[in-house]
Amino acid sequence: MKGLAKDLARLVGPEGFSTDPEDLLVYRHDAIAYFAQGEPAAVVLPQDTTQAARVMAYASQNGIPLTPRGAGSGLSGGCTPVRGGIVLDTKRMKGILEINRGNLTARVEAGVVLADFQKAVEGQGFFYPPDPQSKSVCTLGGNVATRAGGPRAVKYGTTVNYVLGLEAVLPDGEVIRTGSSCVKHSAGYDLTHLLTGSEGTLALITQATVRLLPKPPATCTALAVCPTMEMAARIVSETIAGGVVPSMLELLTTASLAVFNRFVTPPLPEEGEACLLMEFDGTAEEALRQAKEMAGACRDMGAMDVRVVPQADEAAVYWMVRSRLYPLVVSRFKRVVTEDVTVPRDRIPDFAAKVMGIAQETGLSMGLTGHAGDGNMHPTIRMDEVSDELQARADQAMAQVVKAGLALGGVISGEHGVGLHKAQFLELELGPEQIALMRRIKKAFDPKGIMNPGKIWPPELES
Amino acid sequence: MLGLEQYREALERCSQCGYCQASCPVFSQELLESYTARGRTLLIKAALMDGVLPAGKRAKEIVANCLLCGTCAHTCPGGLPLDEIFMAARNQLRPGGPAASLKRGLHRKLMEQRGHPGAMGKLGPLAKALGLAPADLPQPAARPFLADQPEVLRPSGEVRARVAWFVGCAANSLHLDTAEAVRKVLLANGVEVVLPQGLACCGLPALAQGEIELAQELARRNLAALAAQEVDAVVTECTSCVLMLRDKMERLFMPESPEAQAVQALAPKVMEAGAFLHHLGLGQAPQECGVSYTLHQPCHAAGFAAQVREGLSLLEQMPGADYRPLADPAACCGAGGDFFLKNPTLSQGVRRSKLEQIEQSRAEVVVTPCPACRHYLSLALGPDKVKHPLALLAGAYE
Repeated sequence: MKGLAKDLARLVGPEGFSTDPEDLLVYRHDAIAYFAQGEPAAVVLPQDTTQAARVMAYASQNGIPLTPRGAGSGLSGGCTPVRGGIVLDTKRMKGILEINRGNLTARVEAGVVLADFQKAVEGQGFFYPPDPQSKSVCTLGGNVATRAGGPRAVKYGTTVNYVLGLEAVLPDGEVIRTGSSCVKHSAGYDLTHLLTGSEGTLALITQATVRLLPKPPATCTALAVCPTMEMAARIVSETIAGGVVPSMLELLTTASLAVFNRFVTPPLPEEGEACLLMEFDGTAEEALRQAKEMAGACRDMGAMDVRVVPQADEAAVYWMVRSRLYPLVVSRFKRVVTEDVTVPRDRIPDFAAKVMGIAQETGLSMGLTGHAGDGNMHPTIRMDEVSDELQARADQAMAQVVKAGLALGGVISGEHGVGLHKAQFLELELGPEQIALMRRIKKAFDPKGIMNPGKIWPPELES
Repeated sequence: MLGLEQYREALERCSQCGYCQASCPVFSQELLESYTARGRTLLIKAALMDGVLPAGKRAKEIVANCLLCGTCAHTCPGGLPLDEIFMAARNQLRPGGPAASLKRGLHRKLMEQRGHPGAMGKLGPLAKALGLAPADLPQPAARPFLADQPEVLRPSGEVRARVAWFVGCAANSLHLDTAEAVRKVLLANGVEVVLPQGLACCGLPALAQGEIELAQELARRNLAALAAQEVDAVVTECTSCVLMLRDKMERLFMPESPEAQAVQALAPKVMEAGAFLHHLGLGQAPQECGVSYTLHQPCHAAGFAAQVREGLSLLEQMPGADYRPLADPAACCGAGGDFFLKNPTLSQGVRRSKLEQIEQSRAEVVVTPCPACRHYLSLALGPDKVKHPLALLAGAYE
C-alpha cells in the first residue's frame, strides 16, 4: 500500500493517522488477544463525520478494507482488522451534541465514552440505562454497532431499545441520517435498527440519537450465596415468574466469591457454588422493600448468606467488583475462553445443568456467570496452560455449550455481537435462508465488500 | 525493578481489557491507543523483550510519553505493576553519548545534594535567558533549607513524639516556605524532630529516568542514615518521597536481600507529615483562619490517599476555614515531575480540565502535598495560590 501515508496526511492531516508499527500493535485485537489475526496498514482517527467520509470514499476507490473501532474493549473480535487495511478509530469524535430535556433525548458522536455520557445525563436528573461492563471505556458508537447491554437489561433492555436515530457514513462516503428524534416513527424500513448491531459491516456509525429516562430516585443492592448452581438458577427463574423485576440480577460463580472477599467484609462463604447479586430501584422505600422481600425468598429457598446493602457507597464496592470481574478472572489464568449465549429465562436451570455436565465430561475448568435476569449467560473455560491441543478441546466444548443453548431456544450472543469468534455459529442459529438474505443486504450497502470483512459469517460464506 | 525480564509473567497476565483507557492522562489528550498501558506494554514486549520490533525512535517516544503517574497500575483490574514496567523499560532505553552522560552527572549531583545545585544554581537565570534551560524550570533558593538547621529540632514545651524528618529535595531547595511551615507546625505540636545526616534524594526522580542503579545507590544511603534513628515515625512533606520510601524502594532490591529487609523495617514507619500529626492529634488548636481552600490530590498518593485525607483533616480544624472539594480531586494536573518541561502542549491540555475544576470550586487557595503539582499549578494560578497543606495550617499558628 505505497503512498498510503501520504494520502492519509492529505485526508486527515499528519496528526490524524499513524502507519507506525509501534502504534498499530494495539489495534490488531480487541479485549481478547489470542485470536488477533490481522496486521492493519494504518489507524485513522477522524475528528468528525466529514473526515470520516473522506477516508471512506478513498478506501472505497482503492478497495482498502475498513475496520471501525470504538474502545477496542469488545470480546468477539468484532473490531479486529483481519484483512489488514485501515482501522477507523472513532474515539476522537467525542462530542455530546445535545441533551434535550423537553424531549428526553440526547444526540452524541460515536466516540463518546459511555460512562462520561451517563455522568452527563445523570447530572441533569436523567438516566441512560445500557451498561456493558466496560462502561468506563467503551464508546456509544461501539455499543450501537454491537447492540451492547449489561446487567440492567433485565429491567431496561439494551442499547437497541434506546436508539432512535443514527448518522452513518456509507462505504462510498455518502452520509445518511436514519430514524429521527421522535419517540414514535413508522415510515419506511427501519434502517436505524438494521445498522444497530451490524458490527461495522454495513456503514460507519458517526452519531446516535438516544432516548433517556428519568433517573430512579434510589437503588438498593442485595446478595445471596447459594450452595448449588441449580438453586441459584431456580431462584432466578422463580423471581421472574413471580413478577419481581430487579434493575440488575447477576449470577456469579465460586471464583467470583474469592474476588469479592478481597474487597468486602465480612467475607462471603466461598464454598457456595453460586452467588446472586441484585439491585432494585424506585423510591428508597420501594427499593428497600423489594430487596428485603427478595432476600427473604432467597433465605426460604436455602441460600447460605443473604445480605441487603442499602448504603450506596457499600453497594458500589459490590458492583465495582462485578464490572471488573472479567479482567480480574482473566488475569489469574493463562487464557480464558468466554461466550455470551443467552437463553429464555425459564431455561436457565436447564442450561446451567448442561454446562456443568459438559464441564464434567470434558474435564475442563468451566464457570458460568452472567446477567441471569435477562438470560444472558457467560460460560467460560479457564485454562492454566495454553496449547493447540487444549485450545481445540476448549473450542469443541464451547461449541457444545453453544449448541446446548440453541437447543433450549437460546441465541449465540446476547450482547457481545458475533464478530469473529462466533461467526462459525451464526448459521446454526439463523439458518441458510436468513444468512443469504443478510448477504444480499450487505451487498446493497457495501458492494465492494470493504466494511469490516471477515466478520459475522465465516469466510466460506462471503462472496 | 531490576530488569524487564522480571516482569514477563506480569505482562503475560494482562487480560487486554483496555480499561486502562479510563485512567491515562496522556491518552485522554491524544486518544491514540498506543498511549495506554495496553498499548505500551504490547510495545515494550515486542520491541524491548521479544525483538519483534526494533527499539527505534517511535518506540522511545511512546515509552517517554508517560507521566509515570501510576494511575493505570491503580485502576488495572489485574493489578499489574505497570509503572514499574515503564521504569524498567526506560532503564533499557537510556540514551548513550557524551551529552547524555553529562546530563546524567548533573542529575546525580543534584540528587546527592538533595535538590540543591550549589553555586551552579546561580547560572539558572543565565541559562534560561540563553534558552539553554526551559523558562518554566523552577529557580532554587540561594541557600538550601537544611544548611541552617541543627541536627535536632526541639519543641519549647512537652515532647509528645519524636520523628525523623525526611526533607524532600523540593522543600530543601525550592519551596522553603513548605519546609519552614512543616518545622513550625511539628514544633508547635510538641514533636521533636531529628534531621538525620547523610540523607540524599529519595531516588524517585532517578527511577523516572530509568536510572535504577543510581536509585539503588541513593536508597542504600538513605537506609543507612535512617536505620540508626530511634523515632516513632519517619515523616516527609512530599508525596513522591512517601511513595518511594513506603512502596517503591523495596522493589529496587532482590527479595530477601539485606536491603529489602531494611526497607521492610523502614516502610511501615514512613508517613506523610500531615497524616502523622492527624494520628498524634493537634496539641495546640489552630487560630481562626478565614480562607477557602481546595485539595489537589497528587497521582503518587493513589496508594495512600487516606494519608492525604488525614492531612487535610487538620485544616478542617481551623475555625473559619472553608473546604471546597473539587469534582475530582485526584484528576491529574499534568506536571508528572519534569514531564511538563518536555511535553508542554500535552501537559497544558491535562492541566486545563484541572484548572476548570479549581475555578468551579471558587476556592482561594489550592493545597497539595506534591511539589511538582504545586509548581505546575502555580505557573497557571500564581505563586500564592498553591500551597502545601501544612503551609496553610502554619498560617493559623501565628
